[in-house]
Amino acid sequence: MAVQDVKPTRSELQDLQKRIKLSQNGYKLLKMKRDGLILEFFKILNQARGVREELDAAYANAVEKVNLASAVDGSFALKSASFAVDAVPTIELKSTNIMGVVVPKIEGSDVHKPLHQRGYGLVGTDAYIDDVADAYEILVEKIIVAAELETTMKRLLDDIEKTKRRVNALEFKVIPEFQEQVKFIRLRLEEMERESMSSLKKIKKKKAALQS
Amino acid sequence: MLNTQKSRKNSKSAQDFLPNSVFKNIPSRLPAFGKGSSNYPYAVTRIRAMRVKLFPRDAYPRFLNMSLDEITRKIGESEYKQDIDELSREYSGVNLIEHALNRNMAESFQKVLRITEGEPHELVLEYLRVFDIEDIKTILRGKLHSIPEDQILQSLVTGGELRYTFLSGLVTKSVDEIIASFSDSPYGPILKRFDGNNLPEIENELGKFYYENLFEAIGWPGSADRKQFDQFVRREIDIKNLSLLLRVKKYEALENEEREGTPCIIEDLSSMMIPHGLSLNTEKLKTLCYDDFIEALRLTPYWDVISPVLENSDLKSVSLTEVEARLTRYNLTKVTQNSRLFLISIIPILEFIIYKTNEVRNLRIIVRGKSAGMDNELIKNRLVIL
Repeated sequence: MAVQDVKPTRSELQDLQKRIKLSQNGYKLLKMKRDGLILEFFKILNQARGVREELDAAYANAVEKVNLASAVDGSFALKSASFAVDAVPTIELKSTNIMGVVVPKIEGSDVHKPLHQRGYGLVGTDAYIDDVADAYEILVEKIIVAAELETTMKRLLDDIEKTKRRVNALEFKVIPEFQEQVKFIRLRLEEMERESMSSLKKIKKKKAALQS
Repeated sequence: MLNTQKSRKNSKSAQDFLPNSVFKNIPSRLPAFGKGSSNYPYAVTRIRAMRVKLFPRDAYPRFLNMSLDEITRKIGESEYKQDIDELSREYSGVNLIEHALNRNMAESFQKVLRITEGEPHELVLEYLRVFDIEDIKTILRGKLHSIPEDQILQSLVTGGELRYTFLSGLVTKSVDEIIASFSDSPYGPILKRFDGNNLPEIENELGKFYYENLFEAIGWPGSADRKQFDQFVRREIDIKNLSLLLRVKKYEALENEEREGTPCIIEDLSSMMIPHGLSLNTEKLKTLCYDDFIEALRLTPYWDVISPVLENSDLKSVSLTEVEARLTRYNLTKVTQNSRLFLISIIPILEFIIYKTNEVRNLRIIVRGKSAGMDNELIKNRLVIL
């Protein structure tokens, strides 16, 4: 609201003062939230950095194993063994709250299967196939952890950005504007007071002249 | 059918880990050696001519020093030319080479089946049944888990008795119909036990059936060449059993490590052990925990082959693929060592099949390894140069 549009009344002044107080409280709270979110973000960032490195290593290992198995056993045998996999890993999505930000909690099931429950018979397969299955199980586990951490980081970053914009808006726009308006109303009220004083004086003068 | 049992000359402690019945007098389903119709002289002469066309042993080190394009060109100019030309419309790159290698191998084995008669034909047929079993497993796995038909077809290698037209017909059928199609075959009784949830058990049964059937076909090794074949098959059984035991024991040991303080839990492996091995007593070995199992392996003839990998190595870092590579190299080298002693017998035919399978395996390892950017040393370690 432009300063000129403000009604220069005492009630408006009181209302504005209340709003300034509320905004300042909100500003303080949002600033604390922003700082808290940044702290949480850096905590998760450190974990995520490690997980990302582990994920990269797990991916490189899985690719190496699959290449070795395709070379030694042949891609036909490898593909045939992959057809046998019946229990596909499933993920369960839950949510948890970090300072008001809803972040996902991802839990995987059927990711790591015992040697006998991978779907293929052990007699007709070899250690190359087992190594590939092991490597991909580890990779899926790492993907689930990385997905949880990275989604959490994205949500936190979005919220930090949003909170930062709100803090800035309150600090540089909303509160200064309110203060401007208060200042304007005060000046206007003072002016009105002076005007009424001078008119009262004039009336008093006229009254005194008439009486004399 | 165990009629006679001979003891082996082994140390008493080693004897504990050797099979209870090493020599079994199982009569062959085939006519006795020298009886019945067979065409060994003709078949062996034809197969020697086929053997000459295989890549010589010094070709592999040269391939290792070539780029992938150079290897592809070299393979394309060899016996595999026709297969590469015909398959190049469907596949490209490394996949084209692998399909061409497999197709050529399957064609070569079909040719061996065509040119052999009587006893050698039957023996080769039983030996090549491994391809049929692999194809049946692939089809069942694919159909059970709704894999597209073209993908199943692309994973078949028709090196055995079952032809591509028959197998491609099976791929269009349901699982029940596939099982019904095999009701009159030797696989029928095993496949009948399939209930929709026990595919791994059926696969294990098929794997065991292959060796039992082959063993039955060879029968009592009355002649030196049959003995050589018999020993090769039984050593292969040992290697299969040893590899499986190592895989399971390592898995058990890692699981037990996680459950610290609890006694070692041992899985029942009876249903997975292939009988009639040469030098391993699986009955004893399967009951041991990892450390005792490794100790027991020291008394077997395979210890010298696998000890560089297993000795003094941390459980988690033991590379079973390295163990398997060493055992495969050992078995193939053993069977081809004295082959020149048996000029007109099943051995030159078996030797060709082994050399051809090994050539395809070596070329695949080199091509796939090079395309994946694997280290030359790693590729070299996985090659078996006979």
